[in-house]
Amino acid sequence: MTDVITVAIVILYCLVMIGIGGWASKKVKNTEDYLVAGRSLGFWVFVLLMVGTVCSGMSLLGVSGLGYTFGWPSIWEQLFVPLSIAFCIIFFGVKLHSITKETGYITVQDYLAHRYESPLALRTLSAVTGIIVSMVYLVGQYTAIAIVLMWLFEIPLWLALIIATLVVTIYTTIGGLYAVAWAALIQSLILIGGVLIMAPIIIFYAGGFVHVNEYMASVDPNLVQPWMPGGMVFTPSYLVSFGVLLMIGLACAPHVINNIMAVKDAKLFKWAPLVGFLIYGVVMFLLKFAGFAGIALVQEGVFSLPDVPNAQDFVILYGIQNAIPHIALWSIFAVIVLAAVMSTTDRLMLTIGAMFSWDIYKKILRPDAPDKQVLMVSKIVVILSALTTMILALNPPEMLAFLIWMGIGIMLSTFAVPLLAGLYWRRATGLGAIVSMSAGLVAAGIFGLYYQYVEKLPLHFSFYAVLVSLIAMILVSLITKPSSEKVLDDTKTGWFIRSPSK
Amino acid sequence: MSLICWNMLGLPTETIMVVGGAVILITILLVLWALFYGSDY
Repeated sequence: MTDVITVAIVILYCLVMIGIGGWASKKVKNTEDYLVAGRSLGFWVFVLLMVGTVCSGMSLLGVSGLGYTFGWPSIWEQLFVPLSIAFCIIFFGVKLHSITKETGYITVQDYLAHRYESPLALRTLSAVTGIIVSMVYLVGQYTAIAIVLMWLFEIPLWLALIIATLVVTIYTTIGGLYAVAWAALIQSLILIGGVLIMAPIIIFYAGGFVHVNEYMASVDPNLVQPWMPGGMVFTPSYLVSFGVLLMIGLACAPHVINNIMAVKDAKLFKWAPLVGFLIYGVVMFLLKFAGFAGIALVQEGVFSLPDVPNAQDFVILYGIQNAIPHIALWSIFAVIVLAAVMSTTDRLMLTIGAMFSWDIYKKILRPDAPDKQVLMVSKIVVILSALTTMILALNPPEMLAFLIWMGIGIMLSTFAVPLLAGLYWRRATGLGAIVSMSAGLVAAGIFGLYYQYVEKLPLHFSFYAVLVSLIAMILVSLITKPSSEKVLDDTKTGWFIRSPSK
Repeated sequence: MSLICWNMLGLPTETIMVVGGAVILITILLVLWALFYGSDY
């Protein structure tokens, strides 16, 4: 289905991204410039970086797919995911940024090591966990890029992966967070504009919003309910655990929370939660409605989905293909998906680079390493992480979707309790955090495997794991010696979001 | 019961009320956050 205009549009997009990398590389003078963009991000760059980081390609395809499968009961995903941006800024960002202004943190591991007085154990544990989870996530992102490029150009998987990896790696490696943030600005604008145009076209093509809803109700009345009346998913209790997973799990993911360290001025935290929530909310709702439209289109025989295990993820691609009968416009949609995927992929690669070069290499292995060496290690790790995940994506594991959900579940189970307890509970101790993080990690693995291979659970598996992590934190903290008052004061620990005025 | 209570969007009233209510509530809370966040940084 390739034509000259399609190729030209995709090449133009890739060149713009690489151009941003080239421009950004001139601004990178040291590790701080590279990893936190010299702490220079203003309102719109920060908000759209958050939107771009949270909105991945898999979620873009998967949102419509989930809407196609479960109908309105899955609509809560559209509230919880955008809400993760607001949650991250309000409950983590305001206080972390305030401490960072005085301490100069580069990564969230800097905070954990400082707050819990555990420069070695907790830093290593959280960095290694963060790297593993980010790698799992990256494989999923590269697979999504490959799906789109293969669909559009009918090229083999290996070629699609090499093209995608090359473009992201070039601009991320040379430009660091400057490039990632400014690329996210462009990518998010493409994503927002594209979805605002494309999704309504699919919905109108299916007969309009009202027709789609009425059609869904005629197929199965449960599809238009706010939740499922029975079963194992999207019941009210399941939705509570799903909400915790998405809202807090994504908010404390290293590649999301590290954006906070790059903010120029705390004043932008005033409106950023609302603006981030609304922008991303509109995009997510429209994508979900496009998935609903897919139900009517498929049931009415307009098109049928491919005979593959994740057929529902193709619903938006096929919807576009049928609703917009011009090949050049499909390529614009391909660019939208590429933008969504790349805006997460680049941030993940940079986060892996930061966690290795800063937390493991600089802070543990070679404390006396000069800045230039740390910067070089960051760049090498960014390239290595891209190559490794590209090779893994060549043969994507069959349980890829499970691994991605597992990834978010592990983020929630390992990072949420140590971060929230660290920021708000003065009695939380270093050993409490280490045990809490380890217990959450192990419990996420056990409950996740149980959910996948033994039997379904009434709540999302990560909810049980985060409860284990919470109990471990409380019990161990209460029986161990409290952290020093000086550290607690320096890290502004207490039941407040903003420091009380002195 | 709510299934027979259709409205202009082709949805049960319960769905409109619950989902719409949640969106409005969250938006109001975030506006309140912005208004009371202060600007003395």
